[in-house]
Amino acid sequence: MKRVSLVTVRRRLIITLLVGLLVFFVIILRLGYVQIFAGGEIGELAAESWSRDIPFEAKRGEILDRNDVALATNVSAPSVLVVPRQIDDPVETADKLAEALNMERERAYEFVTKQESIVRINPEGRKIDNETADSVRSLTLDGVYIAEDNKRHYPFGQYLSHVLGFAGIDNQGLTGIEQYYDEQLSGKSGSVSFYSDAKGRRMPNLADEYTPPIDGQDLRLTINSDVQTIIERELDIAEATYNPDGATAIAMDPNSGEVLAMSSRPDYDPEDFQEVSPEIYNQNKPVWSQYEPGSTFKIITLAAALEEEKVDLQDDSFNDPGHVEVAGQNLRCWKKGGHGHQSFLEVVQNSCNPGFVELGDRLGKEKLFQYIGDFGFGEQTGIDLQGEGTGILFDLDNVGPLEQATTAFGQGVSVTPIQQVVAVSAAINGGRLYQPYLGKEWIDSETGEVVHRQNPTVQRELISEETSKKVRNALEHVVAKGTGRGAYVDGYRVGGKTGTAQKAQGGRYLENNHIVSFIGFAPADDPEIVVYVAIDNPKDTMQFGGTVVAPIVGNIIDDSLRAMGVEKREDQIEKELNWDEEPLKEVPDLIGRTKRELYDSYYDLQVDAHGDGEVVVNQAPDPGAKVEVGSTVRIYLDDKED
Amino acid sequence: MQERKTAFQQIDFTLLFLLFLLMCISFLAVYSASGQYFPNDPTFFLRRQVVWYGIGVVLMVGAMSIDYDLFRNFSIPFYGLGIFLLLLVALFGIEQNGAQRWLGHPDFLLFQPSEFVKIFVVLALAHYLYHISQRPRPKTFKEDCKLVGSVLVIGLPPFVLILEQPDLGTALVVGAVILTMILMAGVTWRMIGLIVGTITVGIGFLVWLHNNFFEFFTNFINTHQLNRIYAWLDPYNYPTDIGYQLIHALQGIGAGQLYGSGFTEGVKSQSGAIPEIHTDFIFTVIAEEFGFFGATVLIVIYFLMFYRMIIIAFTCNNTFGTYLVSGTVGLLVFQVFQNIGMAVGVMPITGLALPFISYGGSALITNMIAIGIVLNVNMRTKHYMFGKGE
Repeated sequence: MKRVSLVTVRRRLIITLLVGLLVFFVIILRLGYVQIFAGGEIGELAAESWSRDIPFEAKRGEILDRNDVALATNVSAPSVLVVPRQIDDPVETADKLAEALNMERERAYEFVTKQESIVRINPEGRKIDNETADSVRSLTLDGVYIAEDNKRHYPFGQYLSHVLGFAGIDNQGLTGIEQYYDEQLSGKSGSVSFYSDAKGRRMPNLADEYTPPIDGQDLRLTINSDVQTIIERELDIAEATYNPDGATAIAMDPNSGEVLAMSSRPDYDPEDFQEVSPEIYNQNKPVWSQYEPGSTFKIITLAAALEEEKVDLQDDSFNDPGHVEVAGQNLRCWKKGGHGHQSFLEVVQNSCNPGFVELGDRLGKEKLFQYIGDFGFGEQTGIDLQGEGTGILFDLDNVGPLEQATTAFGQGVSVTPIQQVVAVSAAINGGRLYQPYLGKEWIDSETGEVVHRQNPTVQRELISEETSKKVRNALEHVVAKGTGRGAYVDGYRVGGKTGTAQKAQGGRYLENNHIVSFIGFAPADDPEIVVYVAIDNPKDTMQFGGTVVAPIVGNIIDDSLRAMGVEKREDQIEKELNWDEEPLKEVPDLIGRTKRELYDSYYDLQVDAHGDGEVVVNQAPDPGAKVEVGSTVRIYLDDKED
Repeated sequence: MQERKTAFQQIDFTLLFLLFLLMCISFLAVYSASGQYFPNDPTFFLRRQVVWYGIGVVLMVGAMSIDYDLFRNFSIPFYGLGIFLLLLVALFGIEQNGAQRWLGHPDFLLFQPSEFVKIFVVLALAHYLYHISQRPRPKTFKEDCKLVGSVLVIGLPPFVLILEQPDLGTALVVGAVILTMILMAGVTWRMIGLIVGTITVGIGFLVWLHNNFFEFFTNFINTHQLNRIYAWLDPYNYPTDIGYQLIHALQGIGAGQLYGSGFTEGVKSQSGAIPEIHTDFIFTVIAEEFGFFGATVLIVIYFLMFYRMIIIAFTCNNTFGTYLVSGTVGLLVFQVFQNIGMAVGVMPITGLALPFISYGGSALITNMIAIGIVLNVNMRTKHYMFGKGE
């Protein structure tokens, strides 16, 4: 009898078979899990990691001004891609590429030998200029491709930089409008599958998968590039003249909330944003900065008092001794010795602080603060830009007589420039508080059709048209006869108000360091533009809004309304002259005069002659316009036929 | 009385047919998987695989032609030759990819002795167990210990020599053969329990060492092998290095879903992202391009093959034949399980070929010889109407 019987062996064989069955069962179970249960998800991963797709970037939408002047466009900037598996001689390819792209050979070699199906030469071959791309193309290297790509171009450079913002190398909006509307502007990337498999055979199921990119939509802004140009020019001059710490300017259509122009200084070139510090490109001062408004805030107090019929500007009178005592504190008027006896219209003209304390008192703190809140202070205006400030108001519970008094003439509160523009617009447009906006229309970049239009949004109705008219009239007086005379523009009935804000630091007001501002509008009978300019700490000058900023706003309004084609008015309040001011000179009619005649006569004006010829055919300003003595008159000369 | 058939008539054509199916699958899979290595000559590996199959068939027929009873005369010299070759590898072997496994010349012909040693181990152990079975053996624990000890004396030297190359995969195959043989030797369940327990405790001990005495632990397992374990347990933690192959293989297999992407249409298989896809990871191609359906067909073919082999062992009246076939079953089942297991993530990655499918000469020829031996046993089994009394 054998020790191991066949029976035992056979029994063991069956066990072996069962173990084998179990093993196969485990494998099939696991296989089923991987392929069927988790298959969909895993398969997607596989398709993704296949990554033989060459991304086709969507064209980023252009940004245009309201008259279709391109403010942000795209320029062709090709990129170099290599497919390492198609490169037979990596050393040679790397050498040639390195030379063409001005990079190190070792680095180029690394790229062309990477274990990836498609390699981008980044950054040396990313978004290069067309000449470099041509030189790479002319090498006719196998496995090296030029992909069409584009990058953002801002044709005006620093112009409007804070509003536009900029887009990064992947065409992603990083600041400003580019960021705020990034989704609509950027569109969707497409892709095309790489054609062959590793064997050089076509893969029918995959190769045809081409996903075209969806281009971004073009954005038409409310910006008027003419007005913007004027503002940038005026701020350039102001920066050159006063060497300020910064400057802010906004122009808005008071009847819709459409922002016509906006500028923030210091500015930067969006294409070289890396060269300035992030504070510069991140701080769009017109919406970001918050400071004491100073006297421009008096417009709100005035509007409130008029609406509540607490004052009659002509008939009520007020005596300003030069100071007023509130809660034991002596608040001084800016003019030493005070303005004496005056009507309330003169109080406004003179920007008399004690007079406004009186108006605030007549309103009472509830009404005053209710109006301030209704005019939009203490909350964001909702403009389509990022980084908007809210401003700081006194908490109503903490408002005593002193806080009420200072608030009435614009101290102790903190507001943003855009809030002031929106609030003053409401005060002069008949009481409608608009939400300011920049994005006007979205245009399909292919068809050119407008796909979405942003309409003006009225947030609140605040005061009556009648009250608004009174405010306009009072503010026109300020410019014609009061502290805002620097903004006076012949024929355009400018109204406005100065402001001199004290800058606080560490709980104290800084000495000789102010933000001087002016907010003006025109024409006073039917305002079409509101312009706000603030200059931060102008040097070598009296830091008063009336001195520094009013003339700037005057110039901006004058040129802008001309550019917008607004007609000049006849019935303007005559400008009252100070003792040191010369009367305005009427421009003589020079058209038809000969050159010789001009040389022979004397005008106290400069002449700037253009063109060849003997006879004046045109002139600017027009005859009859009033200009300061010593102003320049531009004449155009030509040969007259008859 | 059953009619006597000639040896040729007794050839198991079912097994041969299954082998033929595997060959067809192999040609398809190798073509699809390997073209990427020579884009200008996509059939390069396929042609060579055809040649290997040719050589394999010749050797298989060779292994069939001599009565297996005569194999006993060669088992000891072959075993000695195997050990000698492994020692040669250890001393003068050619090193590739950090392992010293080959003899020959790298530019001409490489020869991997460990492949053939697997057959020699099967032969040697079958011979030994047959030898034991010829005499009565008391059914005592002591006797079992003696038997297991002897099996280990035969099996461990090649196991250790191969492990040291290092070639964990092939060593484990030898281990699987040893365990199968011990099971078939008829030792008591107590003994089997003891062996399984020892292996379990041994692995547990290694894990404990790893967690508590890592410095000491590295004396037993080198970093390379440890990384394979890490990659197996959590491939997504090492997506770019040690987990790379498994992640991409899993993605490919997963992408196949039920019916696969179609021949040569596998997104992952064709991407060149999976190293060794024409050899160790060829299962990925089959699973991705022919889906769960195709992969299951392959697994069923394997199972039918083993079922057939076990039937052959079952019907064989000669214990030597039974042992030979059993050892071969252990040899092949483990390779299939280990190879597919690693591709689907149930086993750590080792460099083992998928029997009869993967591209590669040594492994294919070895497995063909093994099949030859099984066919040999079957064609010379004498069938009786009644059980043969012993």
